[in-house]
Amino acid sequence: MSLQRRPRRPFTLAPLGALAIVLSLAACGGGDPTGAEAQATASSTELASGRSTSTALMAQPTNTEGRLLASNCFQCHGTLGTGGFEEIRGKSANELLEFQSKPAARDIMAAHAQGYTPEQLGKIAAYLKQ
Amino acid sequence: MNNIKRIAKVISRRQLVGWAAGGMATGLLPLAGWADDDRSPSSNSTSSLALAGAGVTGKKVVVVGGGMAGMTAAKYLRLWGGSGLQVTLVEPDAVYTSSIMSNLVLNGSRTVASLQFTRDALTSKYGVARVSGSVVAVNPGARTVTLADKTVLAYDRLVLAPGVSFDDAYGLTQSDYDARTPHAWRAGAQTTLLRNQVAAMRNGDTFVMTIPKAPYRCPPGPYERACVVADYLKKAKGPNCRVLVLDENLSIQAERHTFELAFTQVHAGVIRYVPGVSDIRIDATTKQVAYVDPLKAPQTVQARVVNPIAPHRATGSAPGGWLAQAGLNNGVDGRWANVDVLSYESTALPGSGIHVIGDASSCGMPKAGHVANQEAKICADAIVRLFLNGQPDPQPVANSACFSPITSSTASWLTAVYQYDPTDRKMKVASSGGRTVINGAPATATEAAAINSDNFEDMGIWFKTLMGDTTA
Repeated sequence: MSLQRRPRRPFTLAPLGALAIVLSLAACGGGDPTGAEAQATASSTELASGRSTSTALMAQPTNTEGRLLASNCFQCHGTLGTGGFEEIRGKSANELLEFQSKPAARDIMAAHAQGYTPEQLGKIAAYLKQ
Repeated sequence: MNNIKRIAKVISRRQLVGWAAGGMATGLLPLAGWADDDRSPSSNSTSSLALAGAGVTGKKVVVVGGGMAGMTAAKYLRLWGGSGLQVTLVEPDAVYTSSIMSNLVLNGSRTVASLQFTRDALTSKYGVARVSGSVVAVNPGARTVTLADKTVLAYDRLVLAPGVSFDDAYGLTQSDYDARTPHAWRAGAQTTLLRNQVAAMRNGDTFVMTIPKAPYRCPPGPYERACVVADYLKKAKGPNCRVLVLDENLSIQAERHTFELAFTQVHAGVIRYVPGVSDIRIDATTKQVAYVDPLKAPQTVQARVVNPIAPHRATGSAPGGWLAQAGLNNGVDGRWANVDVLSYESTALPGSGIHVIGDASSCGMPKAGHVANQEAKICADAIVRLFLNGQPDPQPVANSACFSPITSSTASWLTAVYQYDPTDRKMKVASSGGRTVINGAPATATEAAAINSDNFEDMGIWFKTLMGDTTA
């Protein structure tokens, strides 16, 4: 296939590199000792089919201000911002604010971000950073 | 193909999570879902979220309808309300068949099975109780709903997400839709029937579709369907097939720039778009379609396949229906349920604890799965706050994104963010930093500048992620 991918997906990194970044964000993001990192536990589930799957039980951010706003992101970035087009949990607000100056019709994320006030984008980022 | 993406595909997500869980027992955030849509008919996410310790105790919510709105509401009520908020989801169908992406069944690029999702994860991951059944009565005074099998379920709050039903229209009945002239506007057996009819067309045949007056489900969807069918017929049957689009509206209802381009250039000579038609009559046996054109001239066309997207209404809102009997269908023409968009509580029965979300409600936003997902979250958040003796968020924001295939390998998109305007208590499109008025005019939704293959690829990611947020 000759289709060239646009260079705009931060998570088209090598998988283990991506993993390291996720973990470092989890380690330094938020600064809330009761947050996701501290409460996360891992468990293993045996599916009916006999396949074994690891499941990580992830806690939600404890400060719920910005939660409903941030949930607008989840249709395209996964529940709690953990997937889809790009993982956004733990990302900084600056990355979100940068979309405000990009041409809307050429980037669906720019078009989307411009529907929010800067204050709302700040609340979304603060929630996802916990 | 991008080499890195190829590597990512080879090393499956499960393996990655497995390695990480083995090496580092805690501190793991689930990895991003990889970008391809693998089209598997399930919703097996590898991560689970802990329910909130919200402080809600001893409250019961019954959710009626297991579509996009109802599934999302059930999931988020548990996720945000915690284990003290009992949620029961009532739905007759064993699996959910997504109407989103179902136009791609018509050109053979998807199967109906690839659109099917179980609701099992709502139970296994979030503790939603599920009841197989159909509601026949809502009893606001007693705060109960009655199911067809006489089961009575009590609630503190009731969330109705019943979706839409389709009128007998244009001389057709429900059995015509099921057997001869499918609307296929709710994905399922009619989608397969329409696919088979389209596949049996020959070069020179005509496909006629009709579009009802707004509001209808998925504003860009009919125009998208015209494009997908035209593209298929050109490629599979030859240059002489025609797609005639009879629109009861006066103009294209969504993505006007994109679809004008698609009709006049991409599919020029195949699609003929006629807005402002009236008096449509369809003979299900002969497939003859009569209508009155915008110049008031009667017209007749002989079709091989007829696809009438019949006018619709909230399920249960027809005279004698359960929604109507409860007095909840106070929207235009008795077809929809008007709601307070801060909580989605019915304005017909304020204070009753009855909320209506999704396509059945009239809330000022498009009837569409992505929007229904966000309506459900606003409703769930409001219910949790109300159970904790608070008030709904006074400034809710909702959003819509949708991708439309234009050919078998290209797509466009449309997106809008909706802000609450307290002056008239309505949700309004916002742009340019969250403003609902731009230079004295209402802000508008944004459509893609181009129809291209990148958008088509993004469409797969969007669908997979949206369905994950809704079902898993």
